[in-house]
Amino acid sequence: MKNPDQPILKTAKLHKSYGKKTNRFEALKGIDLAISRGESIAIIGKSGSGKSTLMHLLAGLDKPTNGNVYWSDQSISRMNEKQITNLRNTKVGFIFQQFFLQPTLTVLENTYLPLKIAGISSHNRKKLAKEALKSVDLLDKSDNLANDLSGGQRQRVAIARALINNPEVIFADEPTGNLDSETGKQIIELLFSLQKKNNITLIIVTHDEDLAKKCDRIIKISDGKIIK
Amino acid sequence: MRTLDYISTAQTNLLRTKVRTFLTILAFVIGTFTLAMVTAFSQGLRSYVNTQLSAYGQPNAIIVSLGSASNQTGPNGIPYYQPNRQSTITASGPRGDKKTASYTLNQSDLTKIKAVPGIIAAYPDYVTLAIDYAQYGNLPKYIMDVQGAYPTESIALAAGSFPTISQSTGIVIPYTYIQAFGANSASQALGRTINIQVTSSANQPKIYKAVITGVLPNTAHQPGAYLANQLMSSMVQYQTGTTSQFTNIIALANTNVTKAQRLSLKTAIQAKGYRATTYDDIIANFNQPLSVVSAGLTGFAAIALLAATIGIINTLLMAVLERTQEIGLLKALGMRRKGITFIYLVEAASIGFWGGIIGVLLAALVGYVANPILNRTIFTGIGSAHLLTYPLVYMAGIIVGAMIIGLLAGTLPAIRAGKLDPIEALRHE
Ligand SMILES: Nc1ncnc2c1ncn2[C@@H]1O[C@H](COP(=O)(O)OP(=O)(O)OP(=O)(O)O)[C@@H](O)[C@H]1O
Ligand SMILES: [Mg+2]
Repeated sequence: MKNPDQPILKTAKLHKSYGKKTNRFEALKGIDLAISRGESIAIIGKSGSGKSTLMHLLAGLDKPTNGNVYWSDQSISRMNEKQITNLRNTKVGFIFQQFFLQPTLTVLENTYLPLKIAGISSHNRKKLAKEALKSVDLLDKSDNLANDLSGGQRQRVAIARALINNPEVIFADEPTGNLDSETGKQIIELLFSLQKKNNITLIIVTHDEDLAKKCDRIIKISDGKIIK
Repeated sequence: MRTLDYISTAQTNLLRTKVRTFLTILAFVIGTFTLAMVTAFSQGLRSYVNTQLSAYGQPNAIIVSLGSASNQTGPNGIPYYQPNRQSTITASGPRGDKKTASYTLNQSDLTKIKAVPGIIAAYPDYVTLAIDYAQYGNLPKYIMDVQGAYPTESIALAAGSFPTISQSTGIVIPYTYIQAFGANSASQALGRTINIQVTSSANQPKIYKAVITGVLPNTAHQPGAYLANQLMSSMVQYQTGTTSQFTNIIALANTNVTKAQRLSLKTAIQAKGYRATTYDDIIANFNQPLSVVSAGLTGFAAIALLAATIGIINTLLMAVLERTQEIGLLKALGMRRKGITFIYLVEAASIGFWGGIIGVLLAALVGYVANPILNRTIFTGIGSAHLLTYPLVYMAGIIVGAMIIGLLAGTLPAIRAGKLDPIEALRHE
C-alpha cells in the first residue's frame, strides 16, 4: 500500500558539479526537497541558476555528484540503467520548450512513441494514442505530419505524448517558452486540467510569473540553492 | 521496442535520406553483384568442365602405368628407371606414317593389378592403336581416333549404349561422326555396320567390321570412338603382332566407388610399384586453375565490398550526427542504450540486406539474359545446362554475408549512438 502522505519525489543534499579542477562549476549546492503526489510545483529562478539541472536530476536523466534523489523512497543512484530508463518510460512524462516532435512522423506516431519504446502492440498503442490526442483536442490531426502543425498544436501533441504512459510525474521545462502568450495560456489551462483529472504530479520550470502562481507551490532557485 | 518495430523503424529511417541510402546500397550492390557473378560463373564452369570430362574418364577407372619397383621413389615421387621393362614396337598409322611406342607393362602386371583388393577387373589400354580410316557403305573414308571401351563405362550417351560382352564388334561413335556415317540423328546411326581398316607392321591392310551400338554425347571436345574390348584386341594384335605388352592398364573398381575409396585404391596400387591416376586427379587438374581464377575474381569482389563497407560506416555516422536530438529524445522517453544501438545495427544490416538482394537479383537477371545466348554461341554442347548457374545456397550465403558485413560496419556508429548522453543530445542542434 502506498502511503498518500509519503512524498513521491524527495532529494537530500543534492549537489551537481560540472567540469574538473579549475573548470569545476557547482550548478547545484545542496537541494533538499520533498514533493507530494498530485502536487503542482513551479521551479523559478534566474537564467543559469540551476533549474534545468535540478529537473534533469529529478527525472533521472543525469546523476548527482553528491546526494540522492528518491522516487517513493527508492534511491535512483542505486538503480541500474535498465531500471532508470524503465522508470522514465513508465512513470515520467516530459514536455520540452522545443517540443521535440519527430518531424517525419505523423502526430499519431509521435504520440505513441513512449509506448512503442515500451513494446506495446501496434493496435493497443494506436488506441491509447487516439485517446490521448482526443484529450488535447487534436484527434482530427492524427495522420498529419508533425511538421505541418502550429507551435501550439505541437505542444499539445507533446502533452498527449507525455500523458500516454499514464505517468506519475510530468516534467515541463519552459513549456510556454516558444509560444505566444495567448497560446501559452491555453496550453497551461490544458496542462492543469489534465493534471487535476489524472492526479499527476506536475513539475514546471518556468520564467513565467503567471504560470508559477497557478501552481500549488513555488520553489525559487538562486545560484544552485533554494531560497524560497 | 518489438523486433518488428526495430525492423520497420530502420526501414523508415533509411527512407528519410533516400538519395544517400540509394548510393550507399548501390556501392554495396557492385560488390554483391560481382560476387554473385563470380559464383555463378565458376559454379557453371565447374559443372561444364565436369560434363566435358565425363566423356573422357569414368569415376571407377584408374589408369595404371609403370612406377618404381617395391614402392621406392626418388624425390617428389619420381620413379626410378627399371631396366628390362621397356620394349619398342613400330606400327603403321593412317596415311602410311609409322607410330613407335614404348611398352612397359605386360600380362604379369595385369595379373598383379587384378589382385589388388577392390579392383574387380583390369584391361590393357592400347593407346597406340592407329586405324587407317572408318567408312559406312560407299560414303567417303574418314580418319577417326579409337580407344578401348571397358565394362561399366558410365558416360551418358546421346543414343544407344556401350557394347556388352556379347557385342564383340560394337563401337560407340563420336557425336560429330553421325553425318559422316550417313545418319541424320544419333538414334538413326545405331545398328549401322561400318568398315575400319587397319594396317599391319608388315604393311598389309585389313578391314574390320564394327556395329554402332551407341553415340557419344555432344560435348564441345570429342574423344575418339570406343571399340568393344575384343575388337580392339584383335586390331592391336593384327597391327603390332602382340597384345601382351602395353603402356597402361585400366583398373576398374565398383561403379559406386567413393572418392575416399578411390584414394585408398590408388595408394594400394602405388604400393605395388605402379603409378596410378584416378578420376579425381583428372578432375583436379582442370579444377585447380578454375579455383585459382575464381579465388582471384572473388578477391576483386571483396575489394568492392570493402569500399562499400566504408560507405556504410560513413552513412551511419552521418545519420547518428543528424539524428542526435532524436536519439536524446528516445533516451529521455525511456529507450535503453542497447535499444538505440540496435536500431542502428538493424539499419546497417538492412543496407547489407538490400545490397545483397539487389546484387543477386541483378546477377540472376544477367544469367537469364546471357545463358541462352552463351548456349547458342560459345558454350554449345551442354544441352539445356547453363554456364551461369545460381545455386540457391550460395546466393542466400551472399545475402547473409552482406548483412553480416553491414552489421560489422554498423557497429562503430551504433555503439556511438547508444553512448550519447540524453541531455547533451537533446541540446544538440
Ligand atoms: N554540461 C554542462 N557543463 C558545464 N556546465 C553546465 C552544463 N550544464 C549546465 N551547466 C551550467 O550549470 C548552470 C545551471 O544550468 P541550468 O541549465 O540548470 O540553468 P537554468 O536555470 O535552467 O537556466 P535557463 O533558465 O537559462 O534555462 C549554468 O551556469 C550552466 O552553464
Ligand atoms: Mg533551463
